Amino acid sequence: MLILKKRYILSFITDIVVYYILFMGLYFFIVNNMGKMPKEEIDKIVSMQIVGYMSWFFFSFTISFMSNGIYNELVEGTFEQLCLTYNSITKIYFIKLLVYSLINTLIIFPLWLLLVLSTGVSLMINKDLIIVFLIMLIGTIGFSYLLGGITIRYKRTGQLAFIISIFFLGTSIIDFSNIPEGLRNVFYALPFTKGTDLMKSTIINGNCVVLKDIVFLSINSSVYLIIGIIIFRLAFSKATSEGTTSRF
Amino acid sequence: MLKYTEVSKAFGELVAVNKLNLNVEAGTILGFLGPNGAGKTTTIKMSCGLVKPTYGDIEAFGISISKSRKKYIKNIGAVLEGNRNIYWRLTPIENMEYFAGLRGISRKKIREKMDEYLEIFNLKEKRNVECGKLSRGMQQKVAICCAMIHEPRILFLDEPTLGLDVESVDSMENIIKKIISKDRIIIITSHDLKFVSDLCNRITIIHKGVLVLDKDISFLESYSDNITYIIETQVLQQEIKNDIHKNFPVYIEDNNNKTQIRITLKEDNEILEILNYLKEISIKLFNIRKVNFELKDVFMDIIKGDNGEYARSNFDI
Repeated sequence: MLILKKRYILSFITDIVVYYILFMGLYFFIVNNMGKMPKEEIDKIVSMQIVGYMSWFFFSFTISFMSNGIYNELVEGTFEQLCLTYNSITKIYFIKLLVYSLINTLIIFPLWLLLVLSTGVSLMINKDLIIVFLIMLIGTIGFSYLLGGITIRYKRTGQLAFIISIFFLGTSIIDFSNIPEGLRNVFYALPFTKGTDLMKSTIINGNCVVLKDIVFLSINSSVYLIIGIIIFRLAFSKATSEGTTSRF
Repeated sequence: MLKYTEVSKAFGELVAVNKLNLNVEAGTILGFLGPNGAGKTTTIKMSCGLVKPTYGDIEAFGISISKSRKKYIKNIGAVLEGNRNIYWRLTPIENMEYFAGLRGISRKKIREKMDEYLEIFNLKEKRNVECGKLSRGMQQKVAICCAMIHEPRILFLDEPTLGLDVESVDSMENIIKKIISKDRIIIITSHDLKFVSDLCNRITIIHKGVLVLDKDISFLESYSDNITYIIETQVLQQEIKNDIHKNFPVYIEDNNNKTQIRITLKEDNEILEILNYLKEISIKLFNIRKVNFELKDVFMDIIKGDNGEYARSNFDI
């Protein structure tokens, strides 16, 4: 995967630039609409946005890898070659997702640095953030499996991944403390939102994450992982019954 | 041995493969032929575990796909749909390393095998060139290398000559001859019947999901020992056709305001019998010609007969 990233270096750089420009647009919108708010308050809001944005960037890249990645493999005919190895396709994509997540984590750092330098806020990574991130990763992988299953069954799902991605961009910049509790709980039941909110909280307020939140996030992520894998396997089984593993 | 037992596949109402029974011995290069939609690709994909049979079982050297898929798959390598089996942005070496890694082969063994295959497939000079920049023939070769990197005993090649020029087809033929061994089976589907008859030692034809011919390639010689004539006449009424069918070993079809009678004989002078018969009932003759057979003719004969009726009556299947 790293070799492919290297071969598609221009696409990779333009991705980073697009995400950078998108965030800076958001940043200037926030700054220009804050009126006479104290600088500390603005920095706090911007910091929250950076954390939410980076978290969304990671989520968005990972889920689109699964929908676009599987679709590309169907087009190239390599998907069937993967099925011809002794490893199960679920296992192969688990490894692929882990490696891709690792690559995405490495990509986050230069973007993070770029955003911090451009906005002038300081953001420090702490232990709790890493724990939350890792648990959230499980849910993200689960949700990616779900999208992967839909791709195997219905083929072109790039636009679906895009719509989901845009929806979660919205949830990544919302301040959940300002919305009604009932609606907040609905959002927290979704993948990625609770984790992002906790990450914002650990960085901005320096809060330690409480056990209750970790348990909730772990259950949430595990449920998405289990559902994702089940749907992925069902979709693959259906595709082999219908003989559609090479259609795209 | 590769053994198919009552293998069937239905997609809803459509029966793509119907009770396929076939045994392929080690050392065989099997030409698996059939017209478009005959069920070739479905059979190959069932053999690779990519399509689940509706009924029946496939065994590779005694290992059943339904009972032990993982062990079964270890025996299988396949290049499906030509050059669409490799990563075009990776080099031949990277592709081979990737697929070998997925199959759990050690790095040391990968190196040894890669060197061997690069030599056999004449890819040494292109080892570090991205596959997207290689010719179609080279890409096919890389795909075969990747499919063989784990040394499978059964190799499926679906249309290996598709889109290749004459020189590349020749090169592909030589390579397949090099990689066949006493304990390996190679199964080839192709519409290039010359390539198949030159290369394969056994021919199987499937038509409308039914196996209609399964013979050693030498059958072609015995087939051409029979003498076949094609007699073109005015369009015949069904009653007359039935009468001719009763009296002679023929296959009859209407074509462009003519009726074509294809008759297989042991000796040339036997043709006089049917000609006299046609004369007696005052049938107008347009043309008579003797046919020299190639695999193409046999193939056409077989698929012209609905469900292989003609083949069954002539080949004792």
